[in-house]
Amino acid sequence: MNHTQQTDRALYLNAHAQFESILRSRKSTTQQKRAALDAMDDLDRDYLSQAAHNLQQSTAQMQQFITLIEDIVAALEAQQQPLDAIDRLREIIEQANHVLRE
Amino acid sequence: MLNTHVAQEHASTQSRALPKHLHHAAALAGAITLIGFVALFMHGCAAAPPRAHLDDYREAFNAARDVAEQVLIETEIIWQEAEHIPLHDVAGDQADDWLAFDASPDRAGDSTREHIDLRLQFWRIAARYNEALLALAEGRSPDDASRSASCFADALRDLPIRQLTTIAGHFGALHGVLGESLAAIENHHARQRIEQAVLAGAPLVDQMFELMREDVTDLYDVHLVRYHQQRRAIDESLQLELLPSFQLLYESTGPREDKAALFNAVRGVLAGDLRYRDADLPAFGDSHTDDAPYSAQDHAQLLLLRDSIQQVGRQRRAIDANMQQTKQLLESYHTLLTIAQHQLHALQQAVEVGEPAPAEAVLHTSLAVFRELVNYRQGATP
Repeated sequence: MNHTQQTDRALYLNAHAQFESILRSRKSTTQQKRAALDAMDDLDRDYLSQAAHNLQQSTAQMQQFITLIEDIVAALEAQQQPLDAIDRLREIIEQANHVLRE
Repeated sequence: MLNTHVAQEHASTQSRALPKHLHHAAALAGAITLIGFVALFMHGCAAAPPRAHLDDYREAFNAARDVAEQVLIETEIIWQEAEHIPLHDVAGDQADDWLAFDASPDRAGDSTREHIDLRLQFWRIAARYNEALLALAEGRSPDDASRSASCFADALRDLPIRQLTTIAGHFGALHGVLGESLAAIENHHARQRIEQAVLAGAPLVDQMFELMREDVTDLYDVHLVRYHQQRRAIDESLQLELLPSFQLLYESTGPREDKAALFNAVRGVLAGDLRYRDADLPAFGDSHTDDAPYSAQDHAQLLLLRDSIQQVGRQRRAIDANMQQTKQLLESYHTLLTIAQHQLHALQQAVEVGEPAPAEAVLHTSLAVFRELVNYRQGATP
């Protein structure tokens, strides 16, 4: 979490606390309470919009990395084939072993 | 050092005149020299990562993945439920959002589902990467080993194996060490391939872990907004409907004594579940309460309002508990991502720094083969 995000969240929570205080106060009129609720709504929409925007930006970066990782995985999986030469070596040793037993 | 020793020993042996009937052994020496070259080649290579590091990393990865999927699915539900989220125009005029029209192709189909799916895709593809690493660690692979072993196999194929039966006693020992050499070669090349795979893929997976860790903050904020939206809905209902209605009825009718229990119940909810400050607690009926009996309808209505306010208190407790659980879940997820990232770093470090190379095993095996040949020659020489 970077400094800007910390600051934004602190401001968001502080603003919510202030609007909630207006909403709960015995001194607040109904009109003031409605205004506080509307302000809360706007505040939530803005903050959610920012969070969604951040996630969207991360998605774009992730897409690039995932494509590269997929390429590597495809290359690795393509290599997982029978080892012909190693198998031939084993055959030779087995052949020698067989001859030895004869 | 050992290589030098082998080379010197080999050279001094070659300088002696060999009996003719030992020409098979000379061919054998060629193969052994080849093993020596393989050993020399391997000795210069970077050391390999220990399997334990790979296991630790995979274990941490799988734990993080389990939580990640849960977190992402939970977030998707909330994200989609949120109304009118302006994903693209953060600084735009919120009041006129519904009038905006954007039919550009890059916007079409750009949904929460796609953002979540891409994150889930990372966990799937990274799991496949891990399985590929595991396959390499288990020696189920690779073409490099195949190429190197091919030369070795061709050299061995030229050996007059049938004639070697004349030195059967010695071939038995040779057969054993050849097998060991082969195993060491396989092991070495598999490990080399792991090195390459780790060095190529790990930095990318590491970057993804970093992005996922940064993601946690934004995922938490999505949940945080949802939490406040739920609180706001409760407060709206309470402040604009339930409490005014309750206060109106409470102050207009009914005997004071009968209403004391109702009054205490409502204040209990506000002070307890909703954590109202004392200064904000409503002071009902200070000047308007009369002691006239209320109608059955008014009494029932007051009871209903009390129940509704108590229900609001329970709802608030539930959303508080849910938010606390969400916070703990995301904190655990963040921790698991950090652990998985550290284990990946350990794996990378093991590749770069390394441990005793398997080439040593090949070298010792080659030396053992060579000594066997020397002993044989010494025994066969008249």
